[in-house]
Amino acid sequence: MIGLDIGTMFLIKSEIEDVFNGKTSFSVERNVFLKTETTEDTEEILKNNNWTYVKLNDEYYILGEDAIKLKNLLNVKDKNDATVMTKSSELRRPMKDGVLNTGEEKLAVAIIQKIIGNLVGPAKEPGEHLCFCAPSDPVNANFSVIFHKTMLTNYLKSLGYTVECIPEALAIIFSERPTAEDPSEPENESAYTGISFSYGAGMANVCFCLKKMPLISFSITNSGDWIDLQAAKTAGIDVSAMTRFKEKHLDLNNIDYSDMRQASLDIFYQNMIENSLNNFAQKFSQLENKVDFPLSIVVAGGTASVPGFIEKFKTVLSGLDLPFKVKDVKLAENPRYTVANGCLLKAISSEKKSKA
Amino acid sequence: MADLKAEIGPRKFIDLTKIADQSAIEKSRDLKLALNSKKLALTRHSLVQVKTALKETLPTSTEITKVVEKTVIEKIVEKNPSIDEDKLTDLIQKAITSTLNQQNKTIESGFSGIMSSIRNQIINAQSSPMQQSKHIETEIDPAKIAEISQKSIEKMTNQMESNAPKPVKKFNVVNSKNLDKQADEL
Repeated sequence: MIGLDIGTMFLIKSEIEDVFNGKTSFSVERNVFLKTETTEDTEEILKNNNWTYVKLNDEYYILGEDAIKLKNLLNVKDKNDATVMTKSSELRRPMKDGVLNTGEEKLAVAIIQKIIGNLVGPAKEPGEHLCFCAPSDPVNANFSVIFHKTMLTNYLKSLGYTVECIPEALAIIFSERPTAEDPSEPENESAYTGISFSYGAGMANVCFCLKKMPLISFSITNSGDWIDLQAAKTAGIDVSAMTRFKEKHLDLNNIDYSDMRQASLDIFYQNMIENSLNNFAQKFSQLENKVDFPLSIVVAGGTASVPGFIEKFKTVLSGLDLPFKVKDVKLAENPRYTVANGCLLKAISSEKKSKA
Repeated sequence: MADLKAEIGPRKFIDLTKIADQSAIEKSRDLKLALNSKKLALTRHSLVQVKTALKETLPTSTEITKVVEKTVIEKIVEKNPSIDEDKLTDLIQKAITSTLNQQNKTIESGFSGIMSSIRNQIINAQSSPMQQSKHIETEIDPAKIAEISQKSIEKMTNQMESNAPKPVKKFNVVNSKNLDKQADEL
């Protein structure tokens, strides 16, 4: 059984190592590729360095983490930590804004299928259960995720899996198991009831779940990549330099506002959190059956993994007038892997039901 | 040869000195033309021989008609006795007439088409938004698009060559929960 988080920046696979002790293994691959120059020696160099590649029509493409390594080898940085490009092509992303990048040529889709295939491999036995996550339909962009879901489902099925797909933010609910006080339920608690926010690179996904049933589920395209882009523009530096700075140095608890990079990042992080909460509040107000009891909020995702994020989230939350009561706010146990973990739980559950 | 006042028939000889004096013969333009065009040739004793072109006898029009008629009758009419000349003429005439009519209709309809198109554009430009017809869009099933796209992508992946995938590094995380029990709850 496999759980698979197919994200804009990373692909994360989860498998059980020890189900009773809760021991799970995670494998991570970068969702990126790089075209190399084709010479007589290209294939030999790639094989000698053991870099994962594909060859199509005499063009070579390096996949995943190896693409990042080669890119970093070919780039030279100046004293401001900005990247001065040497003779190399750009890293290309098979996904954009959380879904398959159909703006790229179909090569990008073929490449991501190759990366996924390398990561998960064929089913160990026919019909092995695999659950992957997909974003919900966005509120601030005009596209549907059906194409993305269908393409990936069909491909994973071709590897021999029994495939199901769940919303990304719902996977967090399954993994973190938030509860709400409910006197009508055994142990006075209603499990899998709460609100989840998943802040990834391409999208922020939000879900309100009541006893395992998602009542609200949507996404916003302003997330990690958007923060990097906007903050870079504001600070007047290269986007990739801003991304590196964010990953290495940013602490939202300790912002030096005299540093344009930190100040810009802080502004756009705040904006992203406000945006997601306000959109959720609007949808919550539109629910037919009102929910009076306080709700737990769970936060996860790579963009939420920066130090000080949850404190920032709480600060923004306390400043907004929202139509629901908050029980508590917590960061997921493993913010980067909780989505994959939730998918794995769903796969285990489905496998058990199919054998029952 | 008008300037020498001499006439020579085909394959005849003539002694020009008996007709005109030497200076006139030397100055004769008609003689020069005839010699240049090789219609006349000088001999040793200034006798002139005339080379004539082969006689071409062209058939008269009545003779042609007879030959054609004979050929038509022999080759066409006799081999296809069902062909009636009047009928054939009638058919050809009808075909020509219908082609001409078709051409005229095409020109007429094309012209009227152009006129009505211009008229419609004027009307549409002047019409209010309420009068404009609703644009109907038929939704395309994204699942169907995905199915079609997958086939073309499979073609591409089948052409791809790659090295064997490296085993991806695994790292273990211990959850605080019992996964099996939690999966039962879902």
